[in-house]
Amino acid sequence: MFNAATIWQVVVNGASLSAIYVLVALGFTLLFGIMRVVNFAHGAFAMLGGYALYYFWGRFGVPYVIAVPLAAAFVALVALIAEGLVFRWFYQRMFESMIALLGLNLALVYSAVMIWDVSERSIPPAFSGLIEVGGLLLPKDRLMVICIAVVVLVSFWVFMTRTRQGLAMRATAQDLEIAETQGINTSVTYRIAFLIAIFMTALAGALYAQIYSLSPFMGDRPLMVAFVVVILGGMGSIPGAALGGVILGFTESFLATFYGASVSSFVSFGVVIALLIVRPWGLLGTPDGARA
Amino acid sequence: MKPVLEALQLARSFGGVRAVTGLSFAVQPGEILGLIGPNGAGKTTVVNLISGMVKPSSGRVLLDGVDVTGLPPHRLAWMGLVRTFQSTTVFGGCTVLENARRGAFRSAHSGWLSELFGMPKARRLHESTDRLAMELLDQLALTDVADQIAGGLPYGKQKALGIAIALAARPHIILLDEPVAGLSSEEASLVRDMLTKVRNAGITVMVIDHNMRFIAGLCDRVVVVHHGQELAQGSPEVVLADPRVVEAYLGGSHAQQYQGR
Amino acid sequence: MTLVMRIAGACLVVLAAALPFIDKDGFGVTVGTIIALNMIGATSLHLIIRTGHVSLAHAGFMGIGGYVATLTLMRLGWPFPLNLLAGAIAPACLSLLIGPLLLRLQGKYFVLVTFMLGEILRLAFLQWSSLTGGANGIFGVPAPGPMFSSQAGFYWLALGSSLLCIAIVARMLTGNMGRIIDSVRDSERLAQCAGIPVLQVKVAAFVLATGLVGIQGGLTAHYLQYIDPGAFTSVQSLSFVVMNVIGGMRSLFGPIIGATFMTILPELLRGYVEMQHVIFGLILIAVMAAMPGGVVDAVNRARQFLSRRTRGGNLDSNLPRVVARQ
Repeated sequence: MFNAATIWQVVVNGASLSAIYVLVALGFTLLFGIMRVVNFAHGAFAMLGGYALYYFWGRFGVPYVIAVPLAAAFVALVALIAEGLVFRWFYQRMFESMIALLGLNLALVYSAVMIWDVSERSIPPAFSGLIEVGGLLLPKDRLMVICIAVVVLVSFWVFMTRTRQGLAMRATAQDLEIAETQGINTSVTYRIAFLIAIFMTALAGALYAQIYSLSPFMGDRPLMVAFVVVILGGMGSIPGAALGGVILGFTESFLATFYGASVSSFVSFGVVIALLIVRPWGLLGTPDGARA
Repeated sequence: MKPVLEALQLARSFGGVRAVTGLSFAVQPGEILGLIGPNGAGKTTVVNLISGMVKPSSGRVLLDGVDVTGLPPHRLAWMGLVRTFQSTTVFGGCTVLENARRGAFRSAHSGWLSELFGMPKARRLHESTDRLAMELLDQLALTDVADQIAGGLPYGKQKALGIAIALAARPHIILLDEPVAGLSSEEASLVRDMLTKVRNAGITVMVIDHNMRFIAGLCDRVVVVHHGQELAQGSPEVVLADPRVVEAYLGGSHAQQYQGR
Repeated sequence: MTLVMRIAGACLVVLAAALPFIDKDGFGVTVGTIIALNMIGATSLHLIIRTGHVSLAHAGFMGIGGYVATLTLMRLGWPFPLNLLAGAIAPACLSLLIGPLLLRLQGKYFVLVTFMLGEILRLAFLQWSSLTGGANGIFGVPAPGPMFSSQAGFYWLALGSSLLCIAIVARMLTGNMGRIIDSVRDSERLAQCAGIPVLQVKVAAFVLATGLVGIQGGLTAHYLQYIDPGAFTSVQSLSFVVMNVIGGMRSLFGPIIGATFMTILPELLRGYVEMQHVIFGLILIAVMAAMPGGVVDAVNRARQFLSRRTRGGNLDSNLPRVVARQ
């Protein structure tokens, strides 16, 4: 069972899963870190990314490499409506945001059911076959997932560390009042953060739907993943989300390959609960107070 | 005479940072002890260590000679040690009188079963606790605001209420964490008078603050903490004249600069 | 509670009890039964919320109660009220075990962990098919004894259980017990220093609440004569939370009003299942934006505004302070 080919398969699956998970988690943690909003509708936006790809690539035939980011950008722009109507009432109001966004999630998911019906559909494969890299066989579609994700993540990193807007976002996350007195336009910062977060989630959803399948309830899994990763890494911590995503992606790939998918879910939940009990601020977060 | 509260070689580290190392002191019955030190000296950690909010990495805490190291705050409260907080002073969501009643939990508690079934013993205790609460408010000049929501009180009154809540638990030693931070000098002297009365009523008092003038005017003895360690102990006049203490407050390089001029 | 309120309450109870005689086609009794059952979950969750924690695992505990009640009856042959009791004790035992660990967590982490706990429980119900029948569930759960097998009979059973549960929760929230719970929620640190064993109080509330919702699980299984994991999802847990949020989390009237409203709403939109969910979602958003304190709070504010003076007593801010602290 533990032969080289299977291990390699685990690694490849783990890498592509990690890439998707990191994208989802980053979006979620951005919204929490900057706007203090717990986006229970995060999975729904991933799901919408999947449907957008289904149309752009599957129906309209836009070239795949363009279709994926296009779908994500489309969802992010349309989501601005939700930002103006829903999200903006709950910035810095964590508890209310939880309930309200759970409501938004319900509204989005069941609207999707009404529009597209419950049945699963699949996105036509973009690449099939294998490519050989240094003696190892790599499925082309996984390789594409990894490449697209890496490009987006690197761009994100560059944006956050090298641009003024990125700096503004980090400042706002650290301390809202001080950021405002420094002249940072928080509503613009929020909107940009929102766009980036939804873009990454929708992109992750598109890639996820490609690998697995598409249905209105598809977003439940990415939502769970977002929670687990963000908790693992520490809520509001960007490197934490990256680390958590990688850990979860590889762990799940390993467990699912050798022990089956349901064991994988149980173990991830169990580990997270255990971690939360021992170290509630996550692997990379900071404790904020003495014991209760 | 056995000290009421003793800290023996207390130490606490957070990650790699040694917040407190090898700190020892004793609080004698009926005295007012002050713990001072510049900001960042580790005073808050010390208070948290001796009030059960944080477990020490090493060292012991003795209350009336009994080893209470690592016991949680509610156990210490039942043994007679109560503290106030610098930031969360009061129960913000209810009236001032209700605050005092909540603080008097220990006095009002007749046991879980008799509470549950509303037995006469419980009812009698509740009545006497109500009287205790009103008396306390009277002593702390809070009777006029007894029916106001505590969260809306002016800062000075909130601090006074915080002391009332602590006293309602009928402690025999009370720890006050920065009781005059943010208060005007008149309000601070009111607090000073209040605490002197508390001591005269037989309750041992320990005050933690960085305001030297307040501590000097109130305390019988002073312990100076710097970089998590004890710097000096003794009467206020002696300690505050100690050049090491002066240097700690002004900063070593500054002292040198002044000397060099 | 004033005398007027007591009389009004008594009248409502009498009316509720008389419902089977008034309602001829049985529709009212059906809705009434479901309202009564939901009230158990909503008011028991309320107890947890009053200690400052919002649990999204409540439906999971309800499921434990439902399955244990069903299995002890059908596989072990336990007689009627005993299986229900088992259904109450089982979730209480689990929460006794994990409560001390979970309740140390700060507000937002507690919500997330209970959300995941709820999912684990649902997965367990799904996967452990030898015990639970898996996704298909268990059919043919018998009625709870001859006395309660008629529609009216079961309605009175549900109503009685519901009133008992409300009474128990009310007892915990009044008098000195209520004061202790309010102290814990308002400021754990201050409560500790007053001598209140904060963690023990929260665990006790948690254990009691999960035991009570286990009863709802058992009764529901008897009512539907069927049990499956689909009833114990995070959506159901969320419903219980919403019943509290919409009604108001500050007073026991909140979940009572909320349970009634949330049960009646789907009946009004009968036949448009997806639309129901969408509207429900939109209502949630609107309520959280406009009146986060729920109906009870809105009513209180209206009364305040009309009488134009500040009331003393327990006028807390809108939300459980532990959860609101960022």
